[in-house]
Parts: sequence; structure tokens; C-alpha cells
Amino acid sequence: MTFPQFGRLYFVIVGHRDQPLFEFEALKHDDSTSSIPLQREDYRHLCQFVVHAALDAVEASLVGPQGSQMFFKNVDRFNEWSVSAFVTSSLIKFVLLHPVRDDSQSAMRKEESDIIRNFFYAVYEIYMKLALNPFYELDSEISSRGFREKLHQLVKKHLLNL
Amino acid sequence: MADTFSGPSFLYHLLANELSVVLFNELDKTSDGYAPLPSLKARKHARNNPPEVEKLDESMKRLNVTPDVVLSKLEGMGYQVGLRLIERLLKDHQRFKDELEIMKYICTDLWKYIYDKQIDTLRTNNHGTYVFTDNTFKPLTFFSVEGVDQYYAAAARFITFPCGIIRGALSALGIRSAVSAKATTVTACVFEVIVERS
Repeated sequence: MTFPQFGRLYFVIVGHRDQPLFEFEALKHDDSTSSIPLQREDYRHLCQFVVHAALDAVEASLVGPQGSQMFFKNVDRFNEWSVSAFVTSSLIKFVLLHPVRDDSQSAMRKEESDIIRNFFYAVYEIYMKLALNPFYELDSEISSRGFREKLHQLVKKHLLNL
Repeated sequence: MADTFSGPSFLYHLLANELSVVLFNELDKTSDGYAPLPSLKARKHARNNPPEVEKLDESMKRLNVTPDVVLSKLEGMGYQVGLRLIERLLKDHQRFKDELEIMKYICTDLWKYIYDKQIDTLRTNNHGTYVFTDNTFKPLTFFSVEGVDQYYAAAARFITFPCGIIRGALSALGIRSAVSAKATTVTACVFEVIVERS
């Protein structure tokens, strides 16, 4: 069963018990290439499934040779999506599902990796501001509307062309 | 990061936040939610007859609060502060490779950030117990007491908060532990960290 190329993004913040603390989907409006529109609920379940499966690969890279860095690009791959991850010192994982362009050259791939890295660092900043709030219990679900709006702006600013 | 979150005033910021949380929880417990604003007459009366300041021990007796409750609350506040402080301090830092590196970081950078000095000795038995010894622990150097017994009784209040900070810092890095402290000689303090083994 083949999935049509959607060009959508899925971002999730994963806590210590592999539970999602925050989920965000970015939809691209021109779905003209798709012939079978995927239902929104199925899409979300599929994204969660892919990210959960990718968590093993993320933890493997944590104990690997380059384990002390924060940003891991293309840690896992599923059909036409690629998973990139960013792990903080307190082992909170930011995971981004983004479409892979097979025909991309190495230069464009490097630019893509820079864009994603900048996005992750910006998310880290706003996450930390949230974590410093004494009324936010760490490792719990993020239900702050301000956080969601800020993240929405960051996605628009950094990942618009991805 | 905004300038509010840099520099030593950041610690006071965190502490003020913790106090506000404690206050918030306390206010929740009153029957009507919030204390009513005093009337103009009451305020004038209070201004002309200022209340006598009550000693801490007497207020504790009056409110029927045992020292244990106070100390555990202090430790709890230290825990929250430690969690958030370490998140902020490790922003541009690499992830740690093992437990001993984490302990070394706490002894050097974290202690230096809070108290302007490092912990003097770190000992371990390599089976999950670490002992930090600070020979001139900052809060304990500002005491003026009449006798040594009074000193040890009062010192307990000042060393539970840093216990909480250490426990919170370890917890943020994924290490569950129990931290206890003892004031050994005048101005010296020993923290014992026992890491939970799975």
C-alpha cells in the first residue's frame, strides 16, 4: 500500500516514559499530487506509530559514538518520511517527521539539516522558558496555549519550505 | 535567552517563584479562597499599633507545625529549584556520559554558580553512595550563636534547601536519589547522596 506524497510535518515532544507531551501537525495546502486522501485520524495514528518505533533508533544513537550531541538527523526512515530528533540534557526528546526528497543533492541536504537544527534550537528555547515556570510540572502534558502559538510561529518561520 | 535568565539573580528569581507556589497552595486551603482586604479602619489601627513580631519557634508552636514539616517543605522547594536550575545551566552543555561526571558537575559548576565556590571533597564508594564535603559552607558562615548546641539545632534549617537542590538536579538528569546533610564542625557540612539502583 503506497502513501501519496503529502509534504506534511509532524512534531512531537516525548517525555521520559515515552509519552507524548505535545503534538503538532503542519499541513501543506496543495495536495494536488494525492489521489487517495488520507483521513486525518489515520494520519495522526500513523505518525504516532512511526515516531514511537523511531524512539528505539534515537536511544541507540544516544549510546553510540556521537552520543553526546543534541541533534540527530535522519535517525530513522519510513516510506517517504524521515525522522529527526533532538535530545535535551534532561532526556526530553523533540521528534520531527518530515518528508524526504530522494532527488536532493548533498548541498541541499546540508541546508535542510541546518534548517531543522535551527528549528530544534528555537523549540528548545521556548521549551526551557516553559520548564522554568514553577506551575508547570516537568514531564507532564503541555497544555499551554501560548506555547502552542509560539511553536506555530516557529514552524511557520523555519519549516515553511520543507 | 532574555536577560532575566542570566546571572546570579536568576537563582533568586527561581526561589521567588517557588515561594509564590507555596503561597498559592496555602491560599487554596483557606475556606473562602482569599483573605479579604482589610478595611480602612483596620489598616489605620494596624498602622498606629504595629503588631509585635513573633519569634519563629513561638509561631511554629502556635500553628502546631512540627520542624519536620517545615524541613520537608524546604527540601521540596529546593527540589523544584534544582530541577529548573540544572535545565537552565545545561542549555549549551553536552550530555553527560556517566554518573560520576554528573556528580563532578554538581560539585564544581553548580556549587560555583550558587555559592561562588566549589565543593571541597567528593568521595564515593562506587556503589551509588557519594559524599560531598564543604568546609566553609556559605550559609553556615554567617551565624552568631551562643553555644555549639544552638548552632547545630539551627543549622539543620539551612542545609535542607541545598539537599533539595542536589536531589532536584540529579532528578532532572534522570537519577533518582536520596540526599541528606549533616553539619559536622562549625561552618563545615557534609552531604550524602545515595543513588537508587535499579
